[in-house]
Amino acid sequence: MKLNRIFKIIFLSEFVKAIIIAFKEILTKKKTINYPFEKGKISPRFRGEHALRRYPNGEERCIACKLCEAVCPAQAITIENEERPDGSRKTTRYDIDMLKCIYCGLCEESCPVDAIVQGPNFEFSKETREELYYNKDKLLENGDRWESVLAENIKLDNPYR
Amino acid sequence: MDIFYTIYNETYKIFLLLIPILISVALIVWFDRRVWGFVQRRKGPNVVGPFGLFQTAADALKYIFKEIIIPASSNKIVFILAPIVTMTLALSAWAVIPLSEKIIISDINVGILYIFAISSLGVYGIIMGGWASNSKYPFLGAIRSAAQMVSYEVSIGIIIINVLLCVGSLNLTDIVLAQEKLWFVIPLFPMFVIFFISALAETNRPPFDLPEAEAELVAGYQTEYSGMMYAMFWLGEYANILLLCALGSILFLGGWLSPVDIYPLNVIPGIFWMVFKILLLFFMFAIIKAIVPRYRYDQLMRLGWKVFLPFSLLYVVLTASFLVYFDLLPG
Amino acid sequence: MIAHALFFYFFSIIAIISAIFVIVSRNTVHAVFFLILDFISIACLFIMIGAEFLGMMMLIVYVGAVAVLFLFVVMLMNVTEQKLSWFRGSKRSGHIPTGLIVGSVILLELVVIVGGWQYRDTFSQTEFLKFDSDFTNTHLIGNVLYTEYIHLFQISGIILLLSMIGAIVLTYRKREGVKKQSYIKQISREREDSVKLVDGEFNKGVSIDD
Repeated sequence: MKLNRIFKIIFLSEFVKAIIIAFKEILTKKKTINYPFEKGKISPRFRGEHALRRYPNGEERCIACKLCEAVCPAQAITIENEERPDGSRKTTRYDIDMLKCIYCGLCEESCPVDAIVQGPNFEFSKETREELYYNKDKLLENGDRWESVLAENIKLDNPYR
Repeated sequence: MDIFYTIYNETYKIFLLLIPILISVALIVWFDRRVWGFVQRRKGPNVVGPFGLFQTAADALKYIFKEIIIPASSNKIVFILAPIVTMTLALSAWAVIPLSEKIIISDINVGILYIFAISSLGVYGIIMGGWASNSKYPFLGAIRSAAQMVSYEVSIGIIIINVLLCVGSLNLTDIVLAQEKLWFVIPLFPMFVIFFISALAETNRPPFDLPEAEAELVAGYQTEYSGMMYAMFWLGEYANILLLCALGSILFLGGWLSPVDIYPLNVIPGIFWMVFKILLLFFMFAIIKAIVPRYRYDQLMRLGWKVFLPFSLLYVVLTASFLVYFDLLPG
Repeated sequence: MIAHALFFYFFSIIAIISAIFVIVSRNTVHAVFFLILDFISIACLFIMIGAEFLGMMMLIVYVGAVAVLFLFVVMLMNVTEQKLSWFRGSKRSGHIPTGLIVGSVILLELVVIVGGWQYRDTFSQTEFLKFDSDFTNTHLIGNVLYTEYIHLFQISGIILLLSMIGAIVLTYRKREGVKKQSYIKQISREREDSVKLVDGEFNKGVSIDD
């Protein structure tokens, strides 16, 4: 063994170094954010709570192609459709079981008209299971509430699609 | 009636010491978590009260209102007795700690032996808890802890002998007063380091927290405890840590004495110096907790028996021969 | 000193009762706990007669170390629940006569020793036994132990050392084929022993086995 190493062991040099590093760390700026009051930055691709979007004129985007229902790996989406009097194909039922959903984002990717999207909201915990079975009204309401953010996110992410 | 007067007199002295100790234990838990967080670039508890100071009080309140669960197959009397023993012993050792020249409950002749005896009794709380739980993890944790505490007590005892050789008295006040010219940390620095590391092992602090190793033993001897009984274990543990910090500052850092005997420093009351030194040692405890990985059990035993014990014995011989040669033996 | 007497009777009653419980308790671990209680109350009695050094040593050595080892043995051997059939009188056992013989021999020896006890003629003049309130009893014990009885003291130390070495020799066995770590080897590993830096050529790579 080298003499140098023996001295290092006897004088606990590594401990001393570690303590010095610890002191430096104490003085550095802390990384913690006070969560409910401050929030971290979220990517435009963040996959949070689902929403159904509308066109600017108020018409639903969803055309009931059922691609999302087919692609959903957790089979969380249920869609029923009917032809409306004006001949357009629209959904009568669009349910997402948020408890089954694994937030993979495949529904969003498969949608040809950007109707179903996953927004930036991740704080939607509920007290009962029933509240997490989302139906069409709830999803459309989500879409109306988050529309500005959703549109912005889609615009930001567009170059990479 | 004299007896009652004496009892009254002593009781209020005891309360005057115990209540500040319990409060400072609560604060020290907060301080520990805070330092731990700061080293890891976190903020630590900072919500309850100013800077999170009342976090421990909130935790204690939570523990008080939790249900105490006593396992059906446990040995009930011993199970209940174990946290009481831990807590009582941790607090009773404070009776002989001089916080300043005047602030001490009983200034007995064999103060250091008393502390040593009480801390060696502390192992029973853990063994009783581990055995009475009648479950594998607590039992393994208790066995580990008992073996560890008994081993490191030996090296602490020999370190204490080093100090006693320089003092010539077992009285804690005398030990402090003997350091008026020179703190023992300077001539006995290696002993101070070994004392510090042994104190870590004695109180089951990281890197020697094998009895509570959460990865392998859930929570060691505390696994089956809940509610206030768990909180008592935890208070006793921190009171013990505080006690060993106090012992370290008395033995090596000159107790309530100011570092240098010059004007602005020596008018500060002794108790502030004592508290400052205890806090300084505890700060080191907290930092060590943040920076070290856990020891393996055989490494721990090897360190205690094959490194610390021979080295401190050798140092006893060195100290004794030095004192004899230069005719510095006290008393 | 009523308080003194009260405390004396308190501790001595605890000592006697716990000593009885050491024998009669059916759970071996409980028996060891009672033994510890007994030790503690005896230490308290020592402190009460002013022999605080002896009392503390009693606590440190017997309670802090010996009883812990007792407890270890009892817990690890899993002999906690004793049937104690002989105690209940359901089955006769050979233990009672043996125990009685050993007990009576010990009692006889104690009677012989205590009954025939004589102090030396010069005992009262012994320099070291003069009670001096200026010295603590730690000093006094040290004075006696390291002057008058130094040889006995050293011999008892050597006997303890011998018994320790004997225990290690008896239980130590060399096992073949055990892989052991060498701490010295582990901590003396240098970076150069295990790391080699090579300049790799672009698109060719490096052959590492040479």
